[in-house]
Amino acid sequence: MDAKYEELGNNLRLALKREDAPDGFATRVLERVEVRPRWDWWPRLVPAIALALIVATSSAGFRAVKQRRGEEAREQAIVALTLTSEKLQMARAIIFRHREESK
Amino acid sequence: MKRLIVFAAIAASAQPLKFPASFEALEKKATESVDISLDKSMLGTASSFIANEVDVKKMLNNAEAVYVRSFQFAKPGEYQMSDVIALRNQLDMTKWKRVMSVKEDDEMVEIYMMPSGAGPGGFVMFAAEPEELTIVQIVGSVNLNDLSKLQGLPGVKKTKPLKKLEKREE
Repeated sequence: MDAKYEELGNNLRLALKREDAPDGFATRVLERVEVRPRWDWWPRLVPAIALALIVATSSAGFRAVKQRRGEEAREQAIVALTLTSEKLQMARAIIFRHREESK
Repeated sequence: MKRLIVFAAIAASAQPLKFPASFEALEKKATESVDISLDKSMLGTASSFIANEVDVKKMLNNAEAVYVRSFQFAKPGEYQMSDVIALRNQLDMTKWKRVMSVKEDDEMVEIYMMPSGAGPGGFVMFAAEPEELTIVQIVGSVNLNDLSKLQGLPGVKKTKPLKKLEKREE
């Protein structure tokens, strides 16, 4: 029995003996890792990317709307003031003509 | 081109003039029309978008509200003076003071002012020509001299009435 166990032990030691990897093994492994990258991480970024896009788009849209409204308000205010100014000048011109005629 | 102008500015209650229903019909008949309503917030926004015109910014900041309605018609007789009178009758003459009333041929300009005592103050001006009707209402502190000096504001063309006046004055 002891001889059988000893033989089995020798066979196991022989089978499990540490051996150096063949030449180029590490390079080949690394090449395969690079060729087959893992993409299982990207779904986790989708919500963050989507949120960033929404924020950026909303912000740009808000600024565009604010700019457009401001320009519209400016244009309306200038039209109003210009119209007012013209009517006042028209009144003054009428008064001026009346004074000239009365001289 | 002959025009009818009604220019109005109201103050104290800061209430805009209530335009009669007939003004909706005028808009359909007009070849050109302007309808501007700017409250304090919009005036502030407009002011912030005006870079260099300090006088204009000051005027906008002093005003509480600005309302303008203007109609230009292809021919005379498209509106009735009763429309103008109905607007003028909205002014409480115990508070408003007529500061100018001029008439020449078919043109008329009337200005009413309310002192800025208890309220924000303001003025109303009615001016009329046969083919144009304009109504402007300004609530708040208004300086007529400053207003009349405004010329050549960016982005605004001089309108026909002003050209006509310049021609007449020559």
